[in-house]
Amino acid sequence: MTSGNHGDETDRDLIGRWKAGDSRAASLLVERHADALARFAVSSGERSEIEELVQDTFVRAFASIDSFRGESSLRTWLFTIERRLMLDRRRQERRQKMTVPVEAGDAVTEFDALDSLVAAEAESRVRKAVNDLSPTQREVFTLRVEQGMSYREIAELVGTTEGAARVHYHNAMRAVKESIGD
Amino acid sequence: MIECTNAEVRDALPDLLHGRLSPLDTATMNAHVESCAACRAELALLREIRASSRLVAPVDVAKISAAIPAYGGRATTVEAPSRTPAASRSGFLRIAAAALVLLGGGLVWSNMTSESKPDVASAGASLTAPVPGVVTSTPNASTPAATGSPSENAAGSGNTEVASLSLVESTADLSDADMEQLLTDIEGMEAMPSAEPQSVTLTTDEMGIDQ
Repeated sequence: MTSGNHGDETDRDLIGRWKAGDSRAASLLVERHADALARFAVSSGERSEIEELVQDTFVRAFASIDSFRGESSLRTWLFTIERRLMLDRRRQERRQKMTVPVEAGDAVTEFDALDSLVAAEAESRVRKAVNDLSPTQREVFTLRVEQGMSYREIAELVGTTEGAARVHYHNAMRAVKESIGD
Repeated sequence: MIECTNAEVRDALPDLLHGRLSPLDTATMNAHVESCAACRAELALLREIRASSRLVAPVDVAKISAAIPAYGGRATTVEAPSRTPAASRSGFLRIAAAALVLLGGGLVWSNMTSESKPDVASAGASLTAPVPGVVTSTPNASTPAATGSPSENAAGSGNTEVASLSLVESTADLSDADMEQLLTDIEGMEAMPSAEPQSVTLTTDEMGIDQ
């Protein structure tokens, strides 16, 4: 899959239009890929500020659009950017936890509508089974099942081989089945 | 836990779920799933997992779109080799200076051809008057140093021969500071009146050139 074609125009067409000054083309690209990015973030374990993460992903992507060579699909490229942002975010959180002492009475971070919805759906048995997977297995598994990516695309995104991605997927599937007692 | 022994089919179940298979492969897979309980169960589980992932509140597309900056990149056509900012600026200054000197010289020549015949000596002197960035040469004069002061390049005191002007070499040899001074000096030259052209002889003082 080198370019999405969900409507009349491909991702590449919309990028070209945006470069030519058509801001509406950017909105169409956001519309096309935003939900997938949000789901990817949630399935990767993000629980707060999902929309901010998705927005940051798009802002960075459009700012460096000339570096998108089209060798992978735009969605895969967006996932790569978002993945990097999530890793940065986790690194920052780890650093903050090390330097900021937690005191009794500290307020919980604010929840937006998305967070509460995420919290609710996390109770489902299959969701819990997926969330209990190791980070690598969960990432490969959700990209394959929820995003429909090929093993080649997954390997490119997470920085592994197709064979390893296939092994991770099947191990994850076995673990999920065992978890839900199937 | 029962698993289908056909690894290839199990591998392709997510592709079947997402409609990524060709029509022929889709038909083949569907036929297998109908006859294989393990694959039916696994496909149902994949559907449930995928459906559960959709329980994510939609993001605000308008808000995200508004945050995207306008495209500020270069055109996608083939570009000339990039130059460093300093080199580009220096090159621009040289071109601008050369254009202004040519314009200034052209204006002097146009007045030379007016009805009042110019004094040859003074015309020659005006042409040979030192102009920053202008290299003047006479048949017996040596080529001036590349970065020497323009006044040092004056084509011999009292020599009334019209000197040839060589612009390109000297502007290329000037530093950025000299180039900027050249532009300032040229801009300070008195503009030609739009009325009846008159003979004009600019002295070095009028041209703001330090000797």
